[in-house]
Amino acid sequence: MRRFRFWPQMALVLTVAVMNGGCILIPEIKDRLVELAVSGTTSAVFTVQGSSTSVDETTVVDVGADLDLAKVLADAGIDVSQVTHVALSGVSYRILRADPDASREILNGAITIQRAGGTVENLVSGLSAAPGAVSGYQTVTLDPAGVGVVNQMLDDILAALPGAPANGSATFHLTGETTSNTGNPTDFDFELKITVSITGKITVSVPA
Amino acid sequence: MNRRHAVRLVFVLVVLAGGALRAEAQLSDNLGALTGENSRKYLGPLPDAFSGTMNSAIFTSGKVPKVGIEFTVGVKVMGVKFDDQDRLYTPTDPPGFTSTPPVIPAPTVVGGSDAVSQSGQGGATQYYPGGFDLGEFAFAAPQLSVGSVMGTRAVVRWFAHDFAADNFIEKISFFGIGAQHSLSQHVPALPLDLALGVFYQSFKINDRLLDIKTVHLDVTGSRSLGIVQPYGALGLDTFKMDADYEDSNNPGSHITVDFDRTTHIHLTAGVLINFPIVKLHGEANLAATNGVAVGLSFGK
Repeated sequence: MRRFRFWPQMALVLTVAVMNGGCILIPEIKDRLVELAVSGTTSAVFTVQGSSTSVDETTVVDVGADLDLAKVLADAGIDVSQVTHVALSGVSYRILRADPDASREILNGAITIQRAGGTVENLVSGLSAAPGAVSGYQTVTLDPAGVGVVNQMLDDILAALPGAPANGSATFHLTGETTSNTGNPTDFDFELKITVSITGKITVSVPA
Repeated sequence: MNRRHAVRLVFVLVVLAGGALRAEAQLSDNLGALTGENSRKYLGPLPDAFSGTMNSAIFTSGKVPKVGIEFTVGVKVMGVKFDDQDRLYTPTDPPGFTSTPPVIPAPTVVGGSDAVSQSGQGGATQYYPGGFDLGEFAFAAPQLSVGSVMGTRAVVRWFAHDFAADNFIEKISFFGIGAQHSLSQHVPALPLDLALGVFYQSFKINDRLLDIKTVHLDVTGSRSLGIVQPYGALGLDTFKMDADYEDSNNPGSHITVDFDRTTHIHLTAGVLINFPIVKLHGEANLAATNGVAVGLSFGK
């Protein structure tokens, strides 16, 4: 009856093997509050046409509608009441339509932001760009004053959900000097992208 | 199917299929806000965990009859533990954001559940998602074994579920196929049963969200002592994982994360209890991640 002599020993080995990893192989399911981080974007497009030596274009963006924070949260399954943070995380630009003059450059550029009824604040400073060619997104130098305007708008947009915020639009003003070898007037499209980072908590059941 | 029901269904599957992917729907949301480089770091602990579990408990005996009818069907459960070092990564600044020191470590998919904030130039703030606070990872698979012809048995693993109407988790599919060939039949003088095995596996979530492929190759030796059959194996695992998800910063465009192919030595020691109909085994594995596995099968 050798099999019965070995069986208890081997059963013990197996039990030890399983119990050693006990919670590994038979995990306990627990609810956890997990803080997701999602993002949204809004863009301002400037069609720059005119002077051969300067850029001076303004565009108005309904940030509340364009960002559509309600949809961003809904897509991630985050209830508005569970949002923990919302803030501007980055600003970048790209050339959507190139200037006919490939040598065109923007120097000493700046972008301001003015919320409806608010003051004008610098959002981007020291901007230089080469609109003579279509580009991918490029990093800019941010100004805390303009970042503060955007963050206040975001707080107001969040507070107003599911409705629209008061003064949800903003005016963006692009200025700068342009240079070119030909001296032709400027003619290009410039897109400013504002990226917003949002965190919110959801309950998830996980094996632990 | 609404999101809540989808998550519950996935939960049921994952209890069968393992553990950490229970939260896959939220995983895709978290990935959407990360750049490809940060996603690679966020998901960093998963490849070794998948490799260590998926490539375990496939062959549990070196004894393959030269000819005859054998058929077993059962479930294998493989688990590994995560190290503390798996819980954090150092994020790379996403486009449009320039961090200011100090750079804050962010949780990986198995790390702490709180998001972390990183201050940036000009007062910008970048948030990185929390993890699912997982200490362990388990993977389970149904397995069918059929033999023997010329000392060779075939082994198959599979499961699949289709969430056709759900936007977050459309499909989970897992398939593995391989064979084990008796070496003992060619060298009858060996003091133990020896077999060479090879096994290919494919595991996909939403076709492309996670796409995993593994190949396991091993030599398994065992010796029958009544109903008890201790076994050991020396093997090699190759593992490839890719992720693909929608970039929430550029809706409509996808980010593809191509993880490096990895290869690991795989050592196994275990015991098979070989009742006439019921087969039970437990084993320890030294592989990409060390772990344990058990299995219960029925058949002859």
